[in-house]
Amino acid sequence: MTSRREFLEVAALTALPAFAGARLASAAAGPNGGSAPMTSTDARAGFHLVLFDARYSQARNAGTRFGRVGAAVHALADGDITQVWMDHIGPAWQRGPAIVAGVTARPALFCLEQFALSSGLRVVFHAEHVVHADGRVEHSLLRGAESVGLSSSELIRAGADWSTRVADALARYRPDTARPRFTRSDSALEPVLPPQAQLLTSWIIAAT
Amino acid sequence: MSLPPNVSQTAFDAAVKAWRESVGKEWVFTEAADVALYRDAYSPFYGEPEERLASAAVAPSTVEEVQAVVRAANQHRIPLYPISTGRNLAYGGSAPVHSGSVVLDLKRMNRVLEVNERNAYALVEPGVSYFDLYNHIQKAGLDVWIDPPDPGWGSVIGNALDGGAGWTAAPFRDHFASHCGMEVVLANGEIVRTGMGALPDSKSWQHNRWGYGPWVDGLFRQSNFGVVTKMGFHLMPRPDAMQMSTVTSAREEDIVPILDVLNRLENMHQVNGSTQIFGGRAGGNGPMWTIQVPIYGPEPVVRAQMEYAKSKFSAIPGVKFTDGELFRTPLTQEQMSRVRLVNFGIPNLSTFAMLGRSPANPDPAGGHIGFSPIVPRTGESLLEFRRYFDEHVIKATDNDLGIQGPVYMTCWDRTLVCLIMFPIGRDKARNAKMRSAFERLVKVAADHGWAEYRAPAAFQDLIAQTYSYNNHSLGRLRETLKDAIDPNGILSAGRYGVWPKHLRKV
Repeated sequence: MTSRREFLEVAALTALPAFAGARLASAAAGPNGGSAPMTSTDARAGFHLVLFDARYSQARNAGTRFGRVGAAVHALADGDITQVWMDHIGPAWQRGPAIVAGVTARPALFCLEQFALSSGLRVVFHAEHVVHADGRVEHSLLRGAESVGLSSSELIRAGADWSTRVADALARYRPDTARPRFTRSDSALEPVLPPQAQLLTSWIIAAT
Repeated sequence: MSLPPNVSQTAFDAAVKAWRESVGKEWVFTEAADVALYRDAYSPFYGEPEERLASAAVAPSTVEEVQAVVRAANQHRIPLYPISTGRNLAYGGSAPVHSGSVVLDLKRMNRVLEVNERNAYALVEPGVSYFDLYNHIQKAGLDVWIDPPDPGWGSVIGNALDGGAGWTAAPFRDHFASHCGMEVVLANGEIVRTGMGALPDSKSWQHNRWGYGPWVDGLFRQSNFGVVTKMGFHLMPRPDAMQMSTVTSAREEDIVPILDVLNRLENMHQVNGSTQIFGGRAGGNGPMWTIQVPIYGPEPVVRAQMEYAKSKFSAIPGVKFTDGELFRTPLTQEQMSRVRLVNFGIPNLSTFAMLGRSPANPDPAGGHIGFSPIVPRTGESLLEFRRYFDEHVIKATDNDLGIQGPVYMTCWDRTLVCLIMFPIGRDKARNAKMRSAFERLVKVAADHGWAEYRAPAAFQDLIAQTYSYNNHSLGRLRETLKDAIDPNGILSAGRYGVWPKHLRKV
């Protein structure tokens, strides 16, 4: 049985190349989540897996960007994390503190965080992006922005390319167990949104 | 670090020291960032002074460690609140009923101890989730099904003890009723095994639930009399087939003969699946009522029983019976993509994907807590409940809270579970209005002879008070038992309205 301390010690080794190279039978970076599996060839990001919600163009753009930097990516066709949890993330977290990131709707983050807490992992980066019907996007960096060197002004300047900028920033993430431990993110409930607006979240789950 | 109420720093420190020695210091959580993980994200008091919060948490991994933790708590009079995985969201999650209690987190006890295919049962620890048990069975290639609730990420034991239900065949979907044998740590640290498990080296603990003498397992359901550390469950041998047909009707009054037929078929075990009742509202071009009728079993038997059901429903004037697709098991991947997986014993989290706004779901229900009174399963009762809902929710409030329902669930035979969903958010004023509406509906329902079967922590006292026959004699009996079994009142104070003597309100 892995202890919490072992979790933290393994996390301190950062890159987790054994997980980053995992082959994903259902991974896809295509616009509808239906393309061929992708394999990580570059462990720079240190992610075991990156999820993106294929229903949203901004999330698909982020998924494509993550794929280009060598991360293993997985498209959520309908926002449901069940299958990727059972096939990939759950088994990975049984082996150790694999880092998982995503650009998804809130429920995907909420569900994964519940599992993550049971594995001694935490949400270490969390931002929310409200995409309005007229194309405006409001960004809220809720935690961990300093760990990836990201600011709201940078995202505003990026305009429509904000999600690729998020992907670039998240790829810079490096675990740092010296940082204070976060508690649970408040992602359980959907906030009241203006009509036609859509909430997307970007996040990283890792050991702290 | 906060202290439990009425506990001195010295006593708390002594208990924490004992726990660290028995379970390891890394599994005793006293830092705020760790303790806050046990907050109830769906609390109707979220962020308000009345929100129920833990003071610390301790996570043993064996029954011996549970004994040690409980003994230390009993010695130092520290209130404990055991949880299995704490994922019964909307029913309190992992937050204690008595604020300041120390959460006894059992999710590290996650071993599937046995799955027996020949006699179709399992023995598990509290941290085993439906996903865990499903994966164990799949990896071992065993020809049995589990019965997951929806969503299916919670503890098998926790769901059964909380009164949960699933979506496959009777009797397996009544999760407490399908259990067979328990191991319980009492407040003094002593271990009890129930049923045949009381026989040393018993060979039939998970075969026969009754054992010899008075049956005590019910004392540990929705209760605070012990910490359940093992529990057996009867499983369903994988049925060869399942067919779900549909009964529809255009007239409101047809629900009376429809439910009479359905009850007769279920009570004879002709229809064994979890039926569902939709409708009851005029308007639109659809039928007034739609009832899904599932049958599990060998294919020829399913076909014959469905034909019999068809003959009975079709005999009701104006009622249409539509044969549904017959699924042979195991399902193909294509079939799995278009069925409700829990009907086939497959746990999933798809419910959560529907809680957020999406192009396909522009106006999601969002998070909610439920008020679900038990109502006799007759058409007359259903229509009476709908009138109660219209009068006390729709008309009385203009439904400005966005309360949804009623949904008529039939997880248990002979009854309807009439679910009303109260939205939960982070707006305190709106949550206060919601709580007020909830309390009013509970009282009015009790006046009709209906009461809730399960409740969020914030409303457990209120609902317990409605079970008031003969000057609350049932509640007083439970208090007598509580005082005898847990005289220091350290276990789950207040759970389901049962308080220890020193916290009891006169």
